[in-house]
Amino acid sequence: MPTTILMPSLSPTMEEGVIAKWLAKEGDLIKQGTLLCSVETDKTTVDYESLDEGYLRQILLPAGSAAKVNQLIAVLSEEKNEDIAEFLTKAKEKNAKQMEGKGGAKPAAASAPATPPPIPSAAPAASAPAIANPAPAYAAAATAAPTNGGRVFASPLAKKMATDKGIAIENLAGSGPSGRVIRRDIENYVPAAAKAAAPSAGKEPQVVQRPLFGSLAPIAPTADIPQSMMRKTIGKRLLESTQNIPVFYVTMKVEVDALNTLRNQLNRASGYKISVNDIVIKATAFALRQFPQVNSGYYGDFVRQNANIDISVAVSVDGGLITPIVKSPDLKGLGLISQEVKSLVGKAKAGKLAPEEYQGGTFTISNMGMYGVDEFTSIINPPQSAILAVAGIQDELYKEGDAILSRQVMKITLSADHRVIDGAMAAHFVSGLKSLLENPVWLML
Amino acid sequence: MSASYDFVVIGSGPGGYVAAIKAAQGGKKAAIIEKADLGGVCLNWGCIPTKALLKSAEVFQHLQHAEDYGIKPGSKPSVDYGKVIERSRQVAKQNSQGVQFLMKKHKIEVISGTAKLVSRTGIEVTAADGAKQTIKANNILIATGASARQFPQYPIDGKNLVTYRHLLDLRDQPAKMLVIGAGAIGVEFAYFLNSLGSEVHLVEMLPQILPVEDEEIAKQLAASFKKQGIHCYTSTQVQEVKVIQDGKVSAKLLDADKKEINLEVNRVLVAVGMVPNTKDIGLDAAGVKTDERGFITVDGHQRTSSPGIYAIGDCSGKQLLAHKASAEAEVAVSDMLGHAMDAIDYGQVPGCTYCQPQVASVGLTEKACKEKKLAYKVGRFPFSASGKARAIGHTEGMVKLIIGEKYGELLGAHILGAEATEMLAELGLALKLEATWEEIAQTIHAHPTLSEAVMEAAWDTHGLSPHL
Repeated sequence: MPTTILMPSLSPTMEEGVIAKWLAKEGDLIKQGTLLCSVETDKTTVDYESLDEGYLRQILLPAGSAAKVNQLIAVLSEEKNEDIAEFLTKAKEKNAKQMEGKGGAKPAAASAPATPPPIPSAAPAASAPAIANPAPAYAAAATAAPTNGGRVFASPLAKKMATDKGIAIENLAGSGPSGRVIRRDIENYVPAAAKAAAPSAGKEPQVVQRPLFGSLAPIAPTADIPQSMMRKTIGKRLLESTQNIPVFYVTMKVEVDALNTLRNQLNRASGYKISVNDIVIKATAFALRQFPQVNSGYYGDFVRQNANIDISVAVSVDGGLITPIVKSPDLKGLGLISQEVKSLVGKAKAGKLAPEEYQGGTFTISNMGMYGVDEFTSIINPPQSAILAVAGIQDELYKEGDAILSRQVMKITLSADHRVIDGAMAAHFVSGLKSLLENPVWLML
Repeated sequence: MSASYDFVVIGSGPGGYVAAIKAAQGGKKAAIIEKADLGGVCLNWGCIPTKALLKSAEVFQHLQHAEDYGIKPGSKPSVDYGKVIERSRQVAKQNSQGVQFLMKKHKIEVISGTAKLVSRTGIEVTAADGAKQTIKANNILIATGASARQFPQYPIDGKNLVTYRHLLDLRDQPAKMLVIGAGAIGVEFAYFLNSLGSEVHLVEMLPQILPVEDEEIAKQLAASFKKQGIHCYTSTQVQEVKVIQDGKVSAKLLDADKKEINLEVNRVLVAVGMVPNTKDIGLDAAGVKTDERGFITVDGHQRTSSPGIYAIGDCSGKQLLAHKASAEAEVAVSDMLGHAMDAIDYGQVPGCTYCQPQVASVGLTEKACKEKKLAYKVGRFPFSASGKARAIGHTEGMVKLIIGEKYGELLGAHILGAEATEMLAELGLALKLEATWEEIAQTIHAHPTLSEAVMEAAWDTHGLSPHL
């Protein structure tokens, strides 16, 4: 008797998944726990372990395609050569009906914005070399891919790879016969800016490789970039947040000289590399213990004030961002927090976070200090009711009596959901946090 | 005073003589040293004479099946085995004379004798009559080839236990033949002898005949061989081979299920690999290093560890194939002449086996793709769906193409069928030019040809073959 394999629901918010890759192939004997495929969900990529047993007879959804949760993706059979044709026809029909019933199989077209106009075929890509070529500044020593009446000498594979990677192939120097651009030229391609930074090993010292700025920079062609599952989810949730939450912002300036002294002492003594952000996480957790109203979730009929303090940390990853959670930092030392953050960030960048590592935080911190941002605001991640934006550290002159002194300051901004947190509460919380950060000795308690 | 040259080649096989000509064309004073006939194994004892034998086998098979095509041969065709061998020797001789002509044309000195390096630039040549001379060369190219590997348990006597080389010159047809080793040599002789009416037993230690070929193709060939009456044993070991008397050899095999098989045959062909001819040629004196198996180690320009000395072909390892040697000759001589070429991409060397149906391949097998963890797709087109194949009565086999999943570039091509070896060339070009499946599929192939199957297989990588 054959059985069906359906697109699993791998996270509470997952509606649709993309088969990143089939890990089993048709004909394989599948046991419980055999990895069937990896599925790209709205959050991450998860390997799907089979709960059923049998021979994988037919894959109905090829790698790279998307399906709604519970849509039919493959068929198993008990016997290796069992006839599955009839079963398959019926299963397909049944599944299609079920999906319709749930309104799942319906394409998202209805809610999508009006179809954009197609990209004009005479795209600027064609004119890019015309603009770029006359500039002698970047004419490399090697011959650029020869063009002959608009024809680029490149192998078909090189052309496909260049399109895929967004490399302007007509500017490349080919290493194939007669300067033909081949696979290795694309694989070895280093963007001009990076190349300029590297010491030139060429024999012709006259040729100076300069980064391509301004009008010399290659023109990126107009392109319709497909939105990944992650990007779609980010878009949906952020829009939901900004449309539905009456948000207000409270900003304060924190003096961080004491915090830096403490951090330097700690790092020197322990050999750890505790960051400002690690300390902000710990201090925020203490502030939330003091003001539990801020550590709340809004659910319409009720507001859930959370006992546990689980802080989501925004991490920028390839193609989007994700918020892994440091659990109960109020109960942990800075060393442990620092280790956990490092591990979570690593996993996030590798797309290896388990759902429980990014689901269910109670408060979020977004830190853009490393980008030298003066001040910014963040969008609340519902059902959480607040998020803290941490900006960069700057030197500031101030007057004390008649003396002009210097200090280091950092601006923090709380975005708060006014349905849960009133202005005075937000001010108390931010001021409490400021006090903890300015007197970090409190963090010892 | 000893003779002095710009460039001296040791060995006149398809690597060596091509190198000598290229050097002469580049304006160098060149010489070539050969201890036997010009042309090496390829022309005299390999590629060419075996193809002559196989043609005899095909002609005989055609005549046997003439009535299928509505032709009545006058009398029952029969085999004059001695004449088959004689024709093959004649073909070899003519080819060797052809090389002689080429050497003359390019003013290349041919020195007969056995060469031994005495220094980085000196070679001692011993003629057949024992006379010795020493010659000097600015650059030396070693192209000494390889010979059949011998094992103590299979004592070759040239009559009962033989190598391919003996078999090419033995004028009596064995009624019953054991072939040990199902590489290209074993498979071609098994097909040849079986076609002419010998009972053939083909034994391979590995799980498939033609172990370097794609598993699916090798399996289909084995099925075809079985239909033709060849006894194939895979995953089978030869336990013992004993000469009972001249023309009578007993053999004990142990098959995959550990079952013992006893055979009595008239002759045994030992075709279990090749060893490089690098002993006793003075490599140490010239400072030329080899790997642990005796193959000369070279870089991407075919340079050996000794400056000024190059090595190409079988003696430098990798695929032991004539066309690979010729390609390396181009690379080595270009380097010597000061305009370096790209190194050989050994993943693009085609391999051909000339039994019927023929086997031809270039690039990766499916197994190799899996081992390299490449995401790939496969397209197939069986000749049974080809109009031309049906018209000529050769519907066995298929074209199988393997392409990369992401970019669709050709990764490997495998053909089993009547003219497989001739059909492969376009796929070698496709691989070299980094073609993707679309260029192959969209190339207009003439109708009706067997090559259309290549185009159809390319479409089939995306399930788009119109004839499947």
